This record gives sequence, structure tokens and C-alpha cells, in this order.
Amino acid sequence: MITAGIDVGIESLKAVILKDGKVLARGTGLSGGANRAKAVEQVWSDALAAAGLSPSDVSRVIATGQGKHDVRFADDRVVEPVADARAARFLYPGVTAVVDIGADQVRLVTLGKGDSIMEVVMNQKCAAGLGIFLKSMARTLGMTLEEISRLPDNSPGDAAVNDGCSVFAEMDALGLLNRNTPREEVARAIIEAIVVRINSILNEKIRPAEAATVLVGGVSRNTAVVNALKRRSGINFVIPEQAEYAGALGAALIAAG
Amino acid sequence: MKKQRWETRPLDVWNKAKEMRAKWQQSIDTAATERVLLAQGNVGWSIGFPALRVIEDNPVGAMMANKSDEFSRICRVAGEVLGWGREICGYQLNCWGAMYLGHQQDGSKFPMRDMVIPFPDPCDQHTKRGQAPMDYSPIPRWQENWPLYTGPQDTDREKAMIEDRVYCTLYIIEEIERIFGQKFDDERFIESVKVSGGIHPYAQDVSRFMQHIPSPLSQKDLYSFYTLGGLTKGDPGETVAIWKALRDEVEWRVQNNIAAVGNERYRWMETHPPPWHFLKYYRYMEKYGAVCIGSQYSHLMAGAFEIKEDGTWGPREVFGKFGKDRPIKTREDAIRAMIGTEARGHRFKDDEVIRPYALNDFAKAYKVNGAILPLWRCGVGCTVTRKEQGLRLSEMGVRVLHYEGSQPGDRTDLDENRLLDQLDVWMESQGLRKLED
Amino acid sequence: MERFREALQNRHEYARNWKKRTGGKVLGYYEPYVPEEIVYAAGILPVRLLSQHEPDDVTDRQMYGNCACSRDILNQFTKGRYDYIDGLINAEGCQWMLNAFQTTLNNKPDLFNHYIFVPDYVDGRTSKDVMRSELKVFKKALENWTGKPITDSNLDRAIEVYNTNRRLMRQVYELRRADNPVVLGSEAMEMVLASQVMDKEEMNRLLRDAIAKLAERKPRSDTGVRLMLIGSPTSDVALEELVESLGANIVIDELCTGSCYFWNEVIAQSDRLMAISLRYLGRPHCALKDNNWRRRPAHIYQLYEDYQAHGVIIAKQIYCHPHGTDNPLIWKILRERNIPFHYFERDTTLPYEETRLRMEAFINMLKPELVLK
Repeated sequence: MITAGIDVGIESLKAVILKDGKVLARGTGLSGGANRAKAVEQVWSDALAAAGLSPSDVSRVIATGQGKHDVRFADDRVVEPVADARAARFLYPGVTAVVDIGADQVRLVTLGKGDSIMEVVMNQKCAAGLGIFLKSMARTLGMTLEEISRLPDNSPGDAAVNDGCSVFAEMDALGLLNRNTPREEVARAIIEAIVVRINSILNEKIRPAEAATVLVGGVSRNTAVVNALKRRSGINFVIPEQAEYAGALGAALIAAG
Repeated sequence: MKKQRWETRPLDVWNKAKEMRAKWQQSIDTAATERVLLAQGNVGWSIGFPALRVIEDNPVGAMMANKSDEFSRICRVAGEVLGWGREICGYQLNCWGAMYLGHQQDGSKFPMRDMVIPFPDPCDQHTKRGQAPMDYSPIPRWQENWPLYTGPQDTDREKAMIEDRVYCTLYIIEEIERIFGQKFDDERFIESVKVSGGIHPYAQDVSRFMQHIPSPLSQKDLYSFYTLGGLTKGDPGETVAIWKALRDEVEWRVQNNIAAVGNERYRWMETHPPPWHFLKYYRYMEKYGAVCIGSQYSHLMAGAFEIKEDGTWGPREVFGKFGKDRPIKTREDAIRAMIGTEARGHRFKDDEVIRPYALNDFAKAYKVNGAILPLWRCGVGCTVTRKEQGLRLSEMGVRVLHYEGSQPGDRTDLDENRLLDQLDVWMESQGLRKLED
Repeated sequence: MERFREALQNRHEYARNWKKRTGGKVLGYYEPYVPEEIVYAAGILPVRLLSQHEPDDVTDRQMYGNCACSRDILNQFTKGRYDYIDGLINAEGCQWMLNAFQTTLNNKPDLFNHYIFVPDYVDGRTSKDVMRSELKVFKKALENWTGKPITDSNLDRAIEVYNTNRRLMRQVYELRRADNPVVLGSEAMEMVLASQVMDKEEMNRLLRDAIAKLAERKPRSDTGVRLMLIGSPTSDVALEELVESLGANIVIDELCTGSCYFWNEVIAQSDRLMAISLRYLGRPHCALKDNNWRRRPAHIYQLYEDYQAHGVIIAKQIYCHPHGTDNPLIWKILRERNIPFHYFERDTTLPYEETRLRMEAFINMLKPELVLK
């Protein structure tokens, strides 16, 4: 049986086509803002082409993500934590929690017995947009995300930015640059502020286990952020390959039953 | 849509309640033309002054939010321009913003207050209630204390607190007589205290009946009746009658398994005022077969509750012997009967040490599966200790959802779509899909 | 001056050393309505809990919507900075501080703790009786905890030490009235903040010494524009120092952690508890207690005139509800009297660039007053 999952996020969308538990193809693209439905069609079509399939070959499509209703051809829709949980269990059977850090949301899903979910914690508004914030700050600093990702994780120096609000953080960062603080130091201060916010969410209800916690989502690809988060939280995250496709994978698995 | 599990039907007594609310609104609107005094605040003895109407900014702000978001925003901006913190209580900003503008939403003149007697403080905002009209134009303001203490019962400590409250109340009444040349009608006041005590048993029964599965009423029904007590001070007899009618009807519903939500399969509670401009989220939850059985706030219409020794949830006796063993003969007797004899704890500060656990007893008694605890960024009394209460409920196995907004009367920061998404996540992550679209 | 800065910045170390030296206990408090004299009379060091600016990823679990002051105190408790505290007292002030008090106790239920009701209607005829009753209960609670009675003579001594501190601080503040002051706003503020975390007797010795040294200082003619600071409580002098770097000086404040802390004394009477009650109910009102008979506007105006300020900075902490509600009246009064003011909101950190821009613009606007006034 061939199934598919499509995860439509605020910035990017991902598609996974699955057959008998094996990934046949993946597709990705920008969410396209107001033209999301069109972007969905494009990515879907690219994924099918990569798999050498036509739409009728796919038995069931499930959509997830904030833009799940823009997947007009989906047979059903599931919320993101449900998709994340399914993907995490599939990839790592002993997992107890999964943390998803995307462009605009941070989610912690604590798994219960069997297929159940014990708890879901999502960021409040002040911690929204951490992924988008990181991207925007990279532009301000004149660095690429890859350059930021390669920064070594030292404990934070004297340079600090507001860790409560990204608007204030950006103003603090500009102030630091204005006073000739090296941009790498400013970048580290920004990373520290981001991981303080994320760690706050991890502390909210049930603290994830130090081992057996999976990290997924686009920001999981940024090594500097991940290392800082490991240091700050004490959690040794397990990061799957293609971590940003976890939501789509989970949806495809749910479609398979 | 699947066949309903339980029978549902609308409340008969609701039409009577609507009539009473309309009468109250009219009395406020005509206050200026009828040369009556308008007091900002909420006091239980206002019936003693026939020409006095009391009006709180809470329901005014809530009704404004419900009626017109556009006008509410204009009012809030008017307040901010004059110095109000952006994060101050939306009820106040709505109401006093209209005062600064000079008119209400329908264009009619803003009913200026003649005096301020703020409802004693469940929150910092309440403590400063009525500061705006008093600072705006020189009118008298009388703040009472609301003394309370935590810890083991201490009758000496209580005595000083009760005496203070009795003195303040007597003083305020005398000052109104002096300043406004009004005569306080002791007989009418004493009679109302004797009669108003009659509401409580009916309200307590209504509250208790909602522990039944299926719940005969939902939170929306409670809100319709909740403010009646405050709105109908002019006619306590009628108020008691309507509560009796409600009680009898709800008892019948329990006996016949008439439900508020026909597909009830999930019971949830909430805290504090909801977003008054977005009450449709109750209906949204009903699509999942989830009924809101109320909150500590809405059930407070029945007075304070507690867990009894036998483990049942029942009314907490705070009024002591007045009205029961001792006859109420004088103005002071009536005031003492109103105030009660206990100063230990208070509804929102009910022994702060145990407040984080206060919801657990309620959740157990009402057999809830989940709790929605809003986080109102601008509502200090609404939000204080909510996160901790959420943790304590989670420990008990109740699933908790937090969502953010400005304040129940301020639509600004409430992302309605995000809230609906959060509700979907909350329900689906508990294995529940919608029963209807 | 460095000694005050040292005590303030290393206040945890100070308290730990005090405990080692004296063998005494330390009680932390949140609001300035706590009757410190009674605590001191019991041989306990009362310490005002002040926020620091530390990244916070632990308080969201228990708090939402709190001001940074209250939130950061919990942050510090959770991180163990206040591990030397033996107990907590909350005298009814604002709700966020009450929340911080309770939340900390939920984490540390074994700490000694006491709640004192302080009337919001401070001027009521029976309010002083309620306050006195509360102080009586509090005194008993301390006696039970320490196992020692608090005698009248203990109270008299404590009252005298505290009154001396208040007089000495007033002397320092009086020096700021001079056209060419010898003490800067940041220095004076550090002194009053330090006094809230130090043993008052020791503080008094330092103060006497500092006042003597200040008498030898050359008056400064370069302090520039004279500013008054009002608003929410503070815990450091970042704003004062910023202002000084821009050609201005804060000559007076009406802050809970500033002048309001020491402004009035306990007037002795045979009923010591009543004397203390009257002092705390009669102090310059916190915004939350300034209700029926508005005293803040007149007090602010008087200070403004006495200290010959040119303008007022209103720095409110975001989510500070009492000050947010008081603002409209304060603005109205300042406008009616043509007093220039600048209002802004602060948060956990003072955003340097933005605040610098605001202060610079305001100060430049007032510079002509240096010539005209």
C-alpha cells in the first residue's frame, strides 16, 4: 500500500511518499504565503515525479501542519503532535518524548502507553517564530544559516540579548553591533536567547528524559542551536536523518494505518 | 451527524431572565434622566438608597467587548493616549475609554458616575477600581478593605478584620447620607438581607446538579444567570423567585437525563471569565461532544464551596450565626449578616497556599476530564497562579490547555484561529475526533 | 561609595557572611510594608528581595504575565541564589509579589513564612487597628519561630536603628538639592538599595562615614539637567548611570525602592506596635495604596519643586498594574503644571540603544532650562 503525508508549515512544506514502511520519495518547497494551495500542488507533483508515480497510485493522503486545510485532495487531516508522535515511535521505538522546533512553533509531545499521547506543550506567543527569528537575524548579521550553524558552542560571553522577546532581542543585537561587538559574539548571544526560550518550554510540564527524546523540525539542522540546547537543557537529543520531514512521515504512517 | 446520546431542550426559565436583564439595563440608561445617583462599584446594601444604582465596570466592559470590537478598540486607544498602561485590564479600558470619549457605543451620553465604591479587591485592578472617574472629575470615592488572612483559624485576628469592614460600611452609608442628602431606608435593607439569603440554597442546588452525568446545564447557561444577582438588586423577591424556578427546572432535567450537550462524552472546566467576544468556542468544543461544566468563577454564584468531611462537595458556611440564631434588627445587624464572621480566605485569594490545589477538589467533584485555563496577559487577578493550578490538575490526571489573550474584554491579542487550532490539538491528542463539522 | 555598590551587587555573599558572623537568621521580604523593625528586634536580618537580570527558563512553568521584578525573584530562588534565606514574609502589596511569595513557598514548603494583611484603604479610621492586629500576630509568629520573646526594649532599639538610617539617608538626599551636588543620582540610589539588603546598624556606620567624606567632596558643576525619576520599583542603577552619561543627573525619585523606603520615621509612643503601624500606613503611598485620598500627586509635585528638577522620567515596569492605573492621574497633574515628562516601559533588561535614544532626546529638550532656570 502506498500512502503519503504532507506537512504544510508556515514557511515550508514537506511531502513523504511511503510504501510498506519505506520512503519512496520526498518533496519540499516554500509554503508560498498566500499561494499555499498552489505551492502544495507543486510539491506534491514533484514528489510523485521523484517516486515515478501518479496520484491514483497513492491509496491515502493525510495532511498535517498549520496549512493542512490547503491540501484539498487530502483524505484526512491530523494535528501536528499526533503526526510527530507517530513518526518518533516509528523511528525510535523506545522514545518517550519528541520536540519539534520549526519556523514558528515549538512543540513538546510526551508519549504515553501504547499509541497514546500523555501531554502536549506548545509555545506561548512570546516564544513564537524562533526559526523565522534566527533566519532574519542571520540576514541582519550578514551571515548565512550555515555559518551560524558552524559556530562553536562556548558558554555565553558578556554579550547578551533579551531572551523574552525577539523584537527586543533584535534591538539589543543591533545595539551590540553598533558598539563594535564581533558579529560571531552577537550570533552566540542570539543563539543563547533562543535556547533559553526553548528550554523554558521544555520545563513547562513533564520534563523530557535526558535520553530517549527525539528532536525534529527545521531548526534541528542548526548544529550550533542544537549544541547550545543540549548544554542548557542537559538532554542528549536524538536527531533522525531528514528530521524536518518527521511531520510528513508521521502523517504518511497514519495513512497506512 | 450521529444520533445524540442524550435528549436536549432549551431552558424554560431563560425568557424570564432576559426580561430581568432588560429591566436592569433600562434603569441604568434612565438613571441620568430620573435624577438617580450612579455609583461605580458593587455593594450589597445599595437597595437601602432608593435613588442609588450601582454599576460595575466589569460587566460594562464585557458587554462592550461582546457587542462591538470596533468601539471597544477606540475606547482603549482613548485610555492609552491618556496614560493607561497598554497591559491594563480591558474591562476598565473599555469602560473608562468611553467615559473619556463622552459617549456610549450607540451614541448616547456616557452615564457619568456620582461616586465610587469599588468592589473590594480580588485583584490589583479591583483595588484601583473607579480610580478613573474619581481622577477625571472630583467625585467621592470610598475604598473598603477586604481583609483576609491565611493559615489556621484565629478568631482574634478575624475580629479586627470584621470590625474594620463593618465600620467602613457604616461610614460609607453615613457619608452618602451626608454628602448627597439621601436617607438610608433601613427597613428595606434589612428585609433584602433576610430575603437574599434565600437565593443561596437554590443556587447551591443548581451548582451541585451539574455534577450529574450528563450535565443538565453548561457554562453558557451559567453565565446567563450568573450576573442576575448583581443586576437585580432592585427586586430581591423576584430574584429569589427566578432562582427557585431555575433550580426546579434543573432538578427535573437531572431526573430525566436532559443534557446541555446531547453527545456529552468529555467534561471540561475552565477558570475565570472567558473571552466575551468569542463565546462561540463553547459551541466549537460541543462538536467534539465536550461540555463545559463551569468554572470556580461561575459556580461562585452559589457562594464558597469546600470538600466536607464525608468527601462530598458542599457549600462553605461563612455567615455565622446572623440571620439564623440571631434576629436581624438593625442596620448594623444586617451589615454583619452580609459580611459574615469569617475572614479566612477569600474567593480568589482563598488561602494562597492552597489556591494551586483549589481547582483539584472542584475537578474531582464535577468529574472533569480536562481543564482550559486561559492566560490573560492583562488580567492580573485572572491569571495569577493559573500555571501552578495547571500543574496540580495535571498531577491528578486532568489534561490542561492554556491559551493566551489580552483580557476577557479585550480582543487584541486573542488569536481566534490559533485558539481553535489549539482546541483541535488538545482534543485530537486525547484521541477524540469531531462528531460534527 | 564602592562599599555600597559591593554590598548591593554581592548581596547574597553579604547575607551569607552576616549569618556566619552572627549566627542569626535571614528573612526575605517582597514589599516595603513589612514592619522591619519587628524583624530586626527579633535579631533577624530582613532582606528585601530584589531582581537581577538573569536569563530565565524556569519560571514559565509556574508564572504567566508577571512583571519582571516578581518573576526574577522566583528565578533566583529556583536557581539557588537565595539558599541562605530562612523564611519569607509578604505584607499585602501587589498581587504579582504575593504570587512570587506563594510560588516560592510551593517549591520550598519548609521555609518559615508569614502573610501580613496591609489595608488598601490606608487612611480609614479602623485601618490602623487592623494593621496593629496584624503586627501583633506577626510578632507572636516570630517569637514562636525563634523561641525568644521580642521585648519593648528590643523594639525601641530596632526603631532607633531604623529611624537613624532614615535620617542619615535623608541627609544624603538633602545634599542632592544643591545646585552643584556632591553626590550623583546613581550613587544615592545605590546607597538606598544597599540599605535594603544590609544590616541597618552596619549600614548606619557606613552612611556616617560616607556623609563625612561627601562633605569633603568638591561640588560638581557638570551634572547638567536635573531629573526626577518615578515609576515601578528598581533594583539597580543602570538607568541612572545611562542618564549621567548623557549630561543629566537624577536629583530625586519617588520610587518604592528609593525615597519612599526611608522617607518617614516611626514616631515613638508607648504602644510600639501602633507606632509602627502608623509609620507604615503613613509612608509615601505605593501606587497600590494610593486610593481614596490621593497623596502621590501632591508628594511628587512637592519633591519636584524642592529638588528643583527640570523634568520627570516615568519608568514603569511592563505588567505593573498599580502604576499603569495611576499613570493617567500622574500625567494629568504633570501636564496641568507644565512639567515636562517622558514615559517609557522597562522590562527584564533595559534595552540600551532604545533607552539611550529616548533619554538623549528628552535631556536635549530640557537643556535650555539650564540657562533659563
